[in-house]
Amino acid sequence: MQVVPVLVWVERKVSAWIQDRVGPNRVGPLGLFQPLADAIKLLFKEDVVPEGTDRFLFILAPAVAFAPAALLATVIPFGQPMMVDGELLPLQVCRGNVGVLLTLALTGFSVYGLAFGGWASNNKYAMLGGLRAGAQMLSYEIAMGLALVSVLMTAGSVDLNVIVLDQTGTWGGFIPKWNALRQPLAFVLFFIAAFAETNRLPFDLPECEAELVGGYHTEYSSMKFSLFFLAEYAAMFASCCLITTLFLGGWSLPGMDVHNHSPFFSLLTVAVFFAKVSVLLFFFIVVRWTLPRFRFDQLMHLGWKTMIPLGLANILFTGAMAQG
Amino acid sequence: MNLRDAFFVVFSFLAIFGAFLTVTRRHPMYSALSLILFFGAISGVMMVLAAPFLALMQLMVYAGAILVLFLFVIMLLSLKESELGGERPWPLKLLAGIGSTVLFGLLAAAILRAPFSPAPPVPGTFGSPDAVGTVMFSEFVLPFEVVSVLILAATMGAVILAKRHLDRPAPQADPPGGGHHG
Repeated sequence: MQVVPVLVWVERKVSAWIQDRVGPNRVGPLGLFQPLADAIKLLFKEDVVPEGTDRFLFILAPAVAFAPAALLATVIPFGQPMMVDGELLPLQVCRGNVGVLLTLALTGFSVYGLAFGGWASNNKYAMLGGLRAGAQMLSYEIAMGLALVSVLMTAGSVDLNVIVLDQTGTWGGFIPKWNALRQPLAFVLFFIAAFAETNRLPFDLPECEAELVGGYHTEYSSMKFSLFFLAEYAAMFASCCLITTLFLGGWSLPGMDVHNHSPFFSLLTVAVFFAKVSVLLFFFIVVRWTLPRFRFDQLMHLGWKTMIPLGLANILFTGAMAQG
Repeated sequence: MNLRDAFFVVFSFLAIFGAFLTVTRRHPMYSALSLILFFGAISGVMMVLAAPFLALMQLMVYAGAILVLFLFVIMLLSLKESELGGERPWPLKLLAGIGSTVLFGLLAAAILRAPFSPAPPVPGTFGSPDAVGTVMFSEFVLPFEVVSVLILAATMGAVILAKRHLDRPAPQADPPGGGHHG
């Protein structure tokens, strides 16, 4: 959650860079305090609940949108377990052998905030945004799940720690055995699905300002709008963490000693993890400012007619490889 | 009462509360919301009862996917207050009351009479994805495959039903709303 302001700043700087502008540069060094100023501005704005809305759901929706993304971050192992006072301290908030399933369940929940928000707003644009969010998430969750299955088949476990450890080996001493290289198709599918699940361009059909004004958050203002905004960025961060864990070896680097539990080494692995996540986040931002938005039928075609069959084929292929 | 029992009680009450709201709310949107609460609470109960795999499947499939479809239909219909229907006539209410009381009584009697013995201790991996998967694909592989064929048949049936009207030449050039979105 603390990452979000920095992320917004990076987003604006990168967008400026892509569009050959300067970007925020007045508040603080390099405009670094701009997100802070924005947040204060949003907090002091008038909080409008328009007439004809469903008050309860209208207020509930932003919180529902934000919670899953925040929860998702709790199952990610951020680094090598740390040895403190002779006890192994795992760098993961919520441990368990069902990590991957929990992430899938949580990404499924994130749509409710958008759908409720869109419906409760009593506005046709918001409503269409909410509907689109529902259709889009449902469609791409299938592709995401299928991509995940082939990864699980490779690792043989749904425990995120095991999946990370499974990727610590190398080929020929220097090419890491990351799932991105072992399961390239699954990686691409998962990556695209992650864009769709976080409603980032080119998949931001639920908000689509050209057609729907602001989509599901058209009627929202002040802090409630900020929560939707926060939710999008938090979801982006959580997705990048998840992709790093599942496909890019998590906190490991090729050649790292997985039995070294000294605190310094652990912190190093955390740094490695966040370096990988930062690269992914940068990619997310660059894509947003370079690609145009899909049309809704194109979106559905890509999801159902391309990604899902590819995902199924990939599972078949993985299964055949495992047998042969 | 230990922590586990406490969680069980909390989740159970949440589930009952959610189920109650689901049937009493007038607007389907709120019924759906209550149903989410119910699914979440039931999943919590399963988690406490050492069935983490089942709990997460419950969340993923019911709360995460099926209810989104419910919401979809509710949003597309977007019922006005007048379309929701007024109060039901009292004989119907009485009948529903008697019916549910009898059902509750039968179930309660059955539960009270059942010879409950303390459950045998289970291994620590009980209910984990590993354990469920192993049992499902060894001991119960035939039922599993039969169910999968059944689901496949149902899916194909749904596709055929949905596509049937697409074969006919459309009278208008552009049907409103676009047919292929759901």
